[in-house]
Amino acid sequence: MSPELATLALFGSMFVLVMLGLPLAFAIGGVGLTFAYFLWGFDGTKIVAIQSLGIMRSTILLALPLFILMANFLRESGIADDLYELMYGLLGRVRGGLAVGTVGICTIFAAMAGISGAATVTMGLIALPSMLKRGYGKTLAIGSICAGGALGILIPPSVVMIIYGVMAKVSVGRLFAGGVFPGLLLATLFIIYILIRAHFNPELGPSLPPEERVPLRKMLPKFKALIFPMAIVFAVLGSIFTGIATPTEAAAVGAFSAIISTALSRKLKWSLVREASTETLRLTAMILWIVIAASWFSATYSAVGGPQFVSQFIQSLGVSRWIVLIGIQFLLIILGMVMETTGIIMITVPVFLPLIKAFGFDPLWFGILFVVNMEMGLLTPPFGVNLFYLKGIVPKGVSMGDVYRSIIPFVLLQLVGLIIIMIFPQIATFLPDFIFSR
Amino acid sequence: MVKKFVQVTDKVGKWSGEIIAPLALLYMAILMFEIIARYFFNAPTKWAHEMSTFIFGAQFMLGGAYCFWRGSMVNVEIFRERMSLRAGAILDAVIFLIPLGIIILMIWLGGEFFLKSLSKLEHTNTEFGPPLYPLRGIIPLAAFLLLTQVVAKFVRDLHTAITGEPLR
Repeated sequence: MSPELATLALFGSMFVLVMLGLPLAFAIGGVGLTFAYFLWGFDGTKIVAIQSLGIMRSTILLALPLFILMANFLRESGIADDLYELMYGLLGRVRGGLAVGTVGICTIFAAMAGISGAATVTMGLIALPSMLKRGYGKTLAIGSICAGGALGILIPPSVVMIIYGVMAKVSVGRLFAGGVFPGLLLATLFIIYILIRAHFNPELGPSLPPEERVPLRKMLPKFKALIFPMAIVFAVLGSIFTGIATPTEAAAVGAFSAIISTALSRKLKWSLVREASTETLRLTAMILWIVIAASWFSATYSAVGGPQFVSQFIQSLGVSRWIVLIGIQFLLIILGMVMETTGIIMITVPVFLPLIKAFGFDPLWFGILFVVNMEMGLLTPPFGVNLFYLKGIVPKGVSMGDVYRSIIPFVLLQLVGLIIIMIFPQIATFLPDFIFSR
Repeated sequence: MVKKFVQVTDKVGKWSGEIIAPLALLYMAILMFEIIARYFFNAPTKWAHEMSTFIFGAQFMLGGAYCFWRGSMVNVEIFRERMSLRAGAILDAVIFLIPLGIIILMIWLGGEFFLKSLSKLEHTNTEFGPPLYPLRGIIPLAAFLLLTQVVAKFVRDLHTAITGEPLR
């Protein structure tokens, strides 16, 4: 089978099956195995056992369940409540302050947890009712939570970066370092936007009336809410960046310290352990079955020469490499709207990475752009995972239409951030080069 | 009879997950042990990383059935929302023949690899070098667990397709 035909047939049939409602893992895996059978007979389908075992023995992927476990415990640890109280006292007097603080807490959470769901659900439960009660506009309140929560995959640690790192053979530690400044850039853009909107439309984010403000000197003891999160961030990211621990070991330390934090706030019960571990298993199995099925698909597609064909075909078009890069990202954003992140990484990275390298782009920098593209996907319907998280917990009087409307300005801000990182690659590459140059 | 079967598979889905989920605490503990042994006692282990990875590999593989039972295998529902219950069930009964095929291959070929590995008592080629056949055996076992869930879904869809009502 020629690579052109294989490309069309493999991706076409997978797309049809996904649209018909077959779970992604089965659609990708089924197409991969079926083509392997028709191309090489029964022997070709042995990838079903060979590829799977390779993934089951991947120590770097072991970081995934540990970071997810960490997030599931952190959600119950009460850290978010304490942080919200601190932020409420400090920023409540500022117009839009509670939404700004929400983005701030999401940023701290993102630096502790590797998934977007942790901050989105926690802040949806704590900050959303509080903001609505103080008369904040629905769209500003919801938008800040969704967009802030999505920072979880860009600010390290990040489950998405681990999967990208494995597929693109880029060091996960370097990717983590690369996400720091882009993540802070996006958080800053969100905060500036909120402040400007609330300044000109105070009814969107009214400042607290004087009698509800907490005097600043009473706030001092509340600063201890920052101690534990800072310690976790320092232990987890610090040990990865200094090279003391591998991301997997650091994830174990993170999960362990998250359990300790629930114990310290006297919330550690058997029911919590059960809940956190089954939730972790559910999400881990979901991600890794897609990874496994996609590995069958990629093995088949690579064997027919698909990636080389795509790379040569696009290079033969003779268009500027920047047009190609923008085109790839456009496609990624579209895919992000309809597909789950793991699946997108697994099927697009093997196809696009040779092209990115051939054009002389840095795979690390491309990885960061990739993650920002995925972040936009988290916020955009029909398959915006963060919107689903919020759908389950919004208070009465908030419709799904409100949620969709609220994310529009934030998706545009993500786009602005993306363009800035494209024009100034140093934002992503400076820190990893600085840390790992020794 | 049909009802009984579905009840049993539901229990398999639920309990397979409940039992293996706490293994996450085990591999976390093994890694913590390694870190402490290495940094505080300057005595790194040979086995911690491979051991914890093996447990993880077995866990998420076996967890496929639980994930499916919880309805967490991601799917797109753009067209599904516009279909009647019956039409959706008929469509599912047809397209879920694909996972059925995958599972049969996993059991068959995975089982073949397992038996071959077992017959020569295959070990990994690392310094620790634990036996590899248990991990190879997990693949057909995990596929069998998932099979119970996929067949249960097939039975449910068939019931809906014939009677027009979901099986309760």
